[in-house]
Order: sequence, then C-alpha cells, then structure tokens
Amino acid sequence: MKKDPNLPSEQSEAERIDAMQTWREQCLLFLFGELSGSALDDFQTSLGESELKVDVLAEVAETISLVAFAAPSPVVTKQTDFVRRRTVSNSRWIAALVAISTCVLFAFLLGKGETTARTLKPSLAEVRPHVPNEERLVAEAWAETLVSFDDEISSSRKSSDVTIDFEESILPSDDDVNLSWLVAGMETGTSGDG
Amino acid sequence: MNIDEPGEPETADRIEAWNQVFRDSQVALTAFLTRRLAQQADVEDCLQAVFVKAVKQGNDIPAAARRAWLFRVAANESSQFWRKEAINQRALEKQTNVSVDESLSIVEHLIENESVERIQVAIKRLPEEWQQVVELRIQRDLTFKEIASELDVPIGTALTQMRRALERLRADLNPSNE
Repeated sequence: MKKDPNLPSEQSEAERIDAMQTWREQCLLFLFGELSGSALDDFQTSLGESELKVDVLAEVAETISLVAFAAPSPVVTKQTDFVRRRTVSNSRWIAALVAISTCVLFAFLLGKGETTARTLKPSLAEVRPHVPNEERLVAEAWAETLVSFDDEISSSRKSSDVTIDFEESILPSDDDVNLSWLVAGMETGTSGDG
Repeated sequence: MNIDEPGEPETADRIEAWNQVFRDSQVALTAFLTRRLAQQADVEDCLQAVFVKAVKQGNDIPAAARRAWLFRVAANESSQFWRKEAINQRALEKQTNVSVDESLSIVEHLIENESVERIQVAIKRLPEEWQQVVELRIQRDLTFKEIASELDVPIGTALTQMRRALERLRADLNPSNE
C-alpha cells in the first residue's frame, strides 16, 4: 500500500492503515450517497488534498462497479419470478378454462347429437318402407300381444297373493307317486299283445 | 439516494436519473479529476466525456452503484487522457492499440474474458454475513442504517463488513494488486 504523503510522518503504520480503512469506509458512504452536510463537505475537501485518497476512491468505485455489473439485480429477479408465477398461475387458469370449455362443448355436442339422433331417427315404417303392410301389422300385433301378455302376467302376479310353497308345488304328493294304474295298464297291454 | 424506480424503462427517465447522480457528484468528481489531470480545461472535457460514457455504458448498473460507476468511468477517462498525451508526445501511433490493451481496467478485462462467473464465484466465497451486506447494499439499495437494522448489527459493523468484502473481492480478482 502506498503511503500518503499528507499523513504525518511520525504516524505509525498501524495508524496509517487505520486511517486508510476509515477513508475507504468514507468512500463507501460517499459512493452510496450516504454522506451529507458537513461530512460530505469534509469528504470533498479532503479528496482534493490527497492523491492517495483519490486512488483509493477510484479503487473502491471500480470494485463496486464490478460487483454491481456481475451480480444479477434482485429487482429484475423478483420481477421475473413474479412474471413466472403469474404465467404459471395464468397457465393453470387457462388449463382449467380449456378443460371446462371442453366439457361444456362435449356435453353440448352430446346433447345436440342425441337431439339430432332423435330428430333424425326414422320410424320403423320409414326405415323399412318396402316391408309389406300386412307383415308389418302382424309384427306389431305380435309385439303388442307380447306386451299385453307380459302386462297380464305381471298384473296377475301383482294381484294374487299366492305364496309358492316349493315343496308342495314341485315335489309330487304321495298320491302322485302311486303308479299302480300305470302298472295295471301295462299288464293289460302285454296280455292283449301276447 | 433513491433515484431508481423498479419500473424505469424509459430512456428519458434513465438519463434524468443519471443527470441527478452527476449533479450530486459534480463537486467530488471535479476534485477527483482536478487531482488527476491538473489542467482545468482537461477536467471539463473529461467531465463531459464521463457523463456521456456513464450513461451509455451503465445500462445494467443498479441505482445504488451509479455513483461508483461514474467515478470508475472518470478514473478510466483520466487514465486514457494521460495515455493519449504520452502517445502524442512520442508521436508513435502504433502504440495506441498496445497501450489501450495493456491499460484496461479490471472491469474491462473481466468483461472481455467473460469472467462474470468468476466474480460471482468470488462473491460466493465471501463469508455469508459479508455477502448479505453486499447484496443488501448494492442490489437492494438499502442504506447501511437499514442494513444494520435488518441484520441486527451495529452500523459500523455493516460498513466494515462491506469494506472487507470489497477488499477481499479485489484481492481475489486481481491478486497482483495486493
């Protein structure tokens, strides 16, 4: 480190270093705009008195510039983050909107499709105009019969409170098991043949 | 001095901000250049050049570092002035390019060598408390008083940590200086 010729010669090295460190800190305060009033006046006056002080100021200014140049600005970073967050948020909203729109569109198309199908769905007569009228009538009557038959069955089932006793209805009674009439008949037939 | 607003895209605003820094620094800047150049006419010429170059080259400089940038440009301009003088005296035009190359400041060397990453690594090597102070002062533009309050340390400690951080960075980036 250069010695400042303006500093008293009897000043010790430690004191010189201390004075330079104080000056560096003054330079920092000045360069960051934190000196005002008499402190600023004193700084400007002493700047003109010493070449070493000018050199130190230049050195501090250069190092600050270097760091400022190299380090990314957090303001920009924050703005970028904000923009990124907003973009992500927007993307989510857009995705949700697209999903909802798709659902609505799908439902609409489905509904419209059904309506169209109903509208466009031809009657049996329209589909098969070539079928003879008699056959068609028979088929319809047959279908109606089935329907009315089914209705009758269901209504009879509904109206009769018959509980089915499976043992009684399915399994034969003792009388039924008596097959003597059949044996007698076979014997008669056999004797008649022979 | 809070002359920089986060959204300051307009050129006119930027130039006005630099104008403000220049006006606030003019007395010290004149004293600085007078000490280096001797001739008052040269000082005035240099002041004009400093302003133009500071505005032109200082696009990416955060508001907190504008005055520092102004003095860096002033130091560079005064050095160039003496180089030109020397060249004129010797009338050796061929030396111009060599002289300019040899006398590039650290900033130019680092920019030329694309060593921004190197500076960032050097910053990361600093003690964490020092890094915090550097970031809060240069990038977030907090005053040392605000930094002291935020980090719960005396203001003198914050100032000393900043000074030591810059000294360490300078030593790391340009060992031949020490």
